[in-house]
Amino acid sequence: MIVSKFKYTIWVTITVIVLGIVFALASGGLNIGIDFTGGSITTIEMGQQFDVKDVSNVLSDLGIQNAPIVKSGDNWTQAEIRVQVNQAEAEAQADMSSGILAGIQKTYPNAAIISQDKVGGVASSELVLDAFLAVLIACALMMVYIWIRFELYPGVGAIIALLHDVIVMTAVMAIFRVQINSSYIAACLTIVGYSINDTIVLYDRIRDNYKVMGLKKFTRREIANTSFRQTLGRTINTSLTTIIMVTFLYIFGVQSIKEFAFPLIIGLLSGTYSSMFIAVPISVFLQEKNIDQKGQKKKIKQKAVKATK
Amino acid sequence: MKKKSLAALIVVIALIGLLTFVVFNGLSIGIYNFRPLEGIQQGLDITGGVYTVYQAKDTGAEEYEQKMAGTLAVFRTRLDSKGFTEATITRQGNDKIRVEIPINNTSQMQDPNEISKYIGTPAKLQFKEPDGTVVMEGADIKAARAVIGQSGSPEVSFTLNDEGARKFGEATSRLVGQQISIVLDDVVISAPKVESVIAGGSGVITSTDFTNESANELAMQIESGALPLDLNEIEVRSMSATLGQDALQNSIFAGIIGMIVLFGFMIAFYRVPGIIACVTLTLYLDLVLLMLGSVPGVQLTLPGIAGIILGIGMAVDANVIIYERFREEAWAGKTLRVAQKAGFSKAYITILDSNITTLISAIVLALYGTGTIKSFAYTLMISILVSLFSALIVARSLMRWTINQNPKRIGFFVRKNKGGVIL
Repeated sequence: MIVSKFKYTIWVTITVIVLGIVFALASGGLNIGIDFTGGSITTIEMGQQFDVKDVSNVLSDLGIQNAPIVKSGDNWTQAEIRVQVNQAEAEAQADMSSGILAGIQKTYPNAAIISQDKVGGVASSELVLDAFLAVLIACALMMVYIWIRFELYPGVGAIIALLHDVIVMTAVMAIFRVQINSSYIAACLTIVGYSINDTIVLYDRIRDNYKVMGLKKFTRREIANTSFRQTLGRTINTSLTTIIMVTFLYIFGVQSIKEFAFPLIIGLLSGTYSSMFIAVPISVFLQEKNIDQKGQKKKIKQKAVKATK
Repeated sequence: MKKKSLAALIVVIALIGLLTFVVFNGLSIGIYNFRPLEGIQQGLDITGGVYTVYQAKDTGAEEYEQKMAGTLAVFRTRLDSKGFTEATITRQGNDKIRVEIPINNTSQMQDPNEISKYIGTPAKLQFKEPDGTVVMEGADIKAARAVIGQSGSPEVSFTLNDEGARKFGEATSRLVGQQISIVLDDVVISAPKVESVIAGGSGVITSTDFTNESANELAMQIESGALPLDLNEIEVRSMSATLGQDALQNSIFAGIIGMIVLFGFMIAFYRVPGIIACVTLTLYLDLVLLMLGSVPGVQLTLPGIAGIILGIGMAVDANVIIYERFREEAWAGKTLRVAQKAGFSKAYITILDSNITTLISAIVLALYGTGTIKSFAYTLMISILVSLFSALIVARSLMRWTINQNPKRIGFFVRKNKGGVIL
């Protein structure tokens, strides 16, 4: 079932990804944070309700343009000011924030800077490179491990499922316009590490069932389906317990925690889905194509050889 | 067997209870005060503070490695002089320096921008007479290096430019037998005694305290005065202490609520094994907190807390795998004892395989991640190891002992198999 219905289940993935691309195109690309683009985010607590206009006036007085201001905080009393800067401007940046604060304090005397992030272009490109490298290396190592413990093709299936998760997470970030920053990278890496669990549990059961049920009596698809049914309760329960924990983290957490928890929830859902509907079908397809058919061809050849004799 | 098991059960559960009490409440016996939670180092995003990453402009500079070491030493001196003794300075890769400075209410400087500016700008090096008169400044020094003196102990030798030679010669002729202090950013780093007039534009600083390293460091600091390397500030992040504390409180609250719901779920779904899972989860949490407090270099950051909470989810995972297997075996008609043994031995491999793959990615994360991602990776690694222990060893024994109490009461351990095993 999970294998033969692949041509239907894959549409879930395709829909999410297409939606992600459509949303991304409609809103001018992904909402990429300063971790990647370079720039600064200054969060100022006003200590009271405030008008975004007052803040943007201060900014334009200082000659800062294209700086989106977002209201945040529990009572919407915080202003997040995002400025894109390049390396040359970075020097002036240090003095800028005190200028902004001084300007704002004229209207809102209790205003105070509560956090500031500033990332130069060099740091941002390295962050991307490091993250990319980390995913690549982690995937390669895990594949080798699965290859050793299971077979090559399940390894390939598992890695494709992981990439699937990262792509789906990114698509959902695009749909909800959630910022892609280092929290998101950390979430992706977490999912890469966690989602493989579900896949391994399924593979383990399949390996077990090759012995119990036997490949001679049952096809790979039948064994995969049985294993899927046997582990379904476990898969749902463990995903559920983890999602419970992360959801509470999302509900009660502060902004930076939410930024981490949201992609995690998506990744957990996608990871559960992909281990059942991506990893196993792909692994079975590859095995059928490369092991079984070759084997059959061999048999046919041998028969043919015998016949000619 | 029943009585023995009961005793073991009571002892282990009591021990876990005691451990939980000690971890969360602390323990003081006589003069010994054991407070595990206070031993946990909090990261900058919780304590509030600033971190800055500097990058060297020219990695091809002569004696680059030494200059790098010198820069780190200058940073340390500057931070210490402003009371930021808890600040950490680490070299990142070949050309980057990461400085993390916690700021609290008692800090001398409060503005993160001011702090990062202060440590990144050239230092002021002065030679001072005992009465405080400045003899000469860093600009007058041409070179300084650590050497091994005639006595065989390390010294710092320096050469001056013409201007410096004149000033220093004049001062030393007046001050023989007295001390000239060498002051970096208003902190005395060395106060050698003038033993003879130094007129030739070069001299030697000796001190019985010198080791090879400290002499080298001083030479660096004298020669540089300014930072030995030109640096770019490529990343600055700061966070106020109130925001961090809020985040910590909220995350702990989320963790507690999540645990309560999780416990309810496990008990409702798995009955007695569910209760055992709750006991082992408590042990897991205790051990993780203990390890966070005692493994050096591990900081608790916000992603780290997320790592622990995720770890709780994963620790449950191991329990669920075991109990699902156990239930299957019981449904297949085996006695509870046999089902327990078979369930564990089959789940064992699965749990090991799935945790090792996660461990692989945690290790890669620890190697390639920086800052908070690193701390997340460490907590994840600790979580995985502790969860393996608590699920595979502790839960197993607890299960066996519990089943021994009443091996016939299947209903306590597994729900009736209503629909049959779906096959």
